Amino acid sequence: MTLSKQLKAIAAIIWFDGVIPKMRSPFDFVNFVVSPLTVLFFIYLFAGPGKAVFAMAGGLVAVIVGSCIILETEAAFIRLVVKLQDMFVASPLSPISYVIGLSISQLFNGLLGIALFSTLLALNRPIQPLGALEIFVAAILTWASVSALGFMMSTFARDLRDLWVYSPLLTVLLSFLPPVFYPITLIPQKVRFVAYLAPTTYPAQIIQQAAGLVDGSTTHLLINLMGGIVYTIFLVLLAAKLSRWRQN
Amino acid sequence: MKVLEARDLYKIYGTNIRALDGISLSVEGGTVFGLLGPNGAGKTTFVRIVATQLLPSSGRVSVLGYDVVSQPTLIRRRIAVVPQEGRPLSLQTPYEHIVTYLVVRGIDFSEAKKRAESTLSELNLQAYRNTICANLSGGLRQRVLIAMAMSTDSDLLVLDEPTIGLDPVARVDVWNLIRDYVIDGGKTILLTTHYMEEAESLSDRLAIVNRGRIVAEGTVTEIRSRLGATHVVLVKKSMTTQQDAEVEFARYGRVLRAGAGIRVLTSQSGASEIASLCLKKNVEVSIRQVNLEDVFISEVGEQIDAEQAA
Repeated sequence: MTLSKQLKAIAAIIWFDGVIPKMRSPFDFVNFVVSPLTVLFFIYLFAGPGKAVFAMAGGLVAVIVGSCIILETEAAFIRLVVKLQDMFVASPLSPISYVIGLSISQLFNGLLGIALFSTLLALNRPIQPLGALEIFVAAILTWASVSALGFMMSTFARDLRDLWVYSPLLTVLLSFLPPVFYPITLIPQKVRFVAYLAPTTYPAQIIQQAAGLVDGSTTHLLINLMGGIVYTIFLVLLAAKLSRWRQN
Repeated sequence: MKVLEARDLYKIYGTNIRALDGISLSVEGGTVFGLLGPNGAGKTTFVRIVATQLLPSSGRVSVLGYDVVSQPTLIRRRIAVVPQEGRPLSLQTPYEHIVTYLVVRGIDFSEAKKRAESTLSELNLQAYRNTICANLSGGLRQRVLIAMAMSTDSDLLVLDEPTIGLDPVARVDVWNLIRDYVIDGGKTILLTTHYMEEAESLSDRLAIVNRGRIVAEGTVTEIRSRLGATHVVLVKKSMTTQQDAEVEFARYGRVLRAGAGIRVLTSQSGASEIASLCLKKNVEVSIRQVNLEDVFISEVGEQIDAEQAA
């Protein structure tokens, strides 16, 4: 298929798997905003309004993680339960278009949360246009890396129940343990490298710096940007290699 | 023209699980070809290879003249699949399923909308056009998947157990859709089933598959003739013991166990004689012409017996 047709195919999948379900089941939006809002609430309560801004930045990352890691179960559901993936495989659709379509579809889960946390952040911090661009790039990196991870994990499942345990676990490992809701400087220097094992550490650092929550040089920003890009490319390539579009 | 040709096809999972054990068959265009076999016979593995979803271990398969291993993209443009026990998504309507599937396959949105409307009408789904699939019956949901596949107007449709779990009315409904697709459109359908009646009603030619091998292939008539019998006598209860009955009826033809009774494959005159004998002894008996089920039980049962003996 031509590039234009592949793009239309991606749009069709987004409409089918992202837009329609949310129009008919809008309460789903709330699911993906509850946890980050709860974290924001407690940080505000116990650490005060100054630190709560970290939770607004972190909430943006956490909402994207929560909504995109669902790709793990969604892709497995479409492959193993309803088996529509079989119909897509036996068609001119490319696997890349399929995965991009599904990944963007999942982003719709977090639409309310993304709007909410972006607005809260913008209201509480003076963000310059360049800063907004950096936050946008960080959001894209979060979406791409977590979606790649989610899709890769979905390919290993032989039963949907294999995956139920992983979504909450990954949400904790990607959103709540790494320095997403707090500055990385709170982690002792000796073990700080562990934080960089999480792909979300890089975009979270970019957002914190773009929002002026932490001091950092342009070099620091570029390191986080490059780190995020390299990590995302690694995960996307790994997902592409391990994904089983046509089984052996 | 041959739409599908498989030669010495093997599929081995892991080190020694032979799902396909040297299958060779061909399917002519404009026909329905049935693959009949018990669960685990290798039917789904075969159709997944044909549909370019699975790679074979060895052997060659060409679909519409293209090789499944090296030319899958050329095949995918001209085939469509209905997977075994598939179902549409709950929150979307039949119309949305068809339009999306067509656009995903590279058909323009305006053309997709037209085709969706006409397919919904042809498959009597217009009344459910805007009903979310969660509110449809099992039969209607299956019809949605078939509508998605048929709307593509593909040269080859691969239907893997398309009527599994459907009630008899819904099943006949699906049969009619399948026949119409071939008769009206001159297309080809590869169908797997473990329902004898379905294979018999739908298939122009069929193959009985068991344990990854073809045990019989041909038209329904040709396959029936393999039995060397025209009639089947079902003796519902044993006359003395089952073993005695088997010995007694062996002179009329092949005797197969059938639950509490026996099944004798015989000629018309043999069937009359057995019936008279049973009626005299007040034993419940029924006679009918041989059908695919008899061939299936004979061929597949024999193979299992031989393997158990070995």
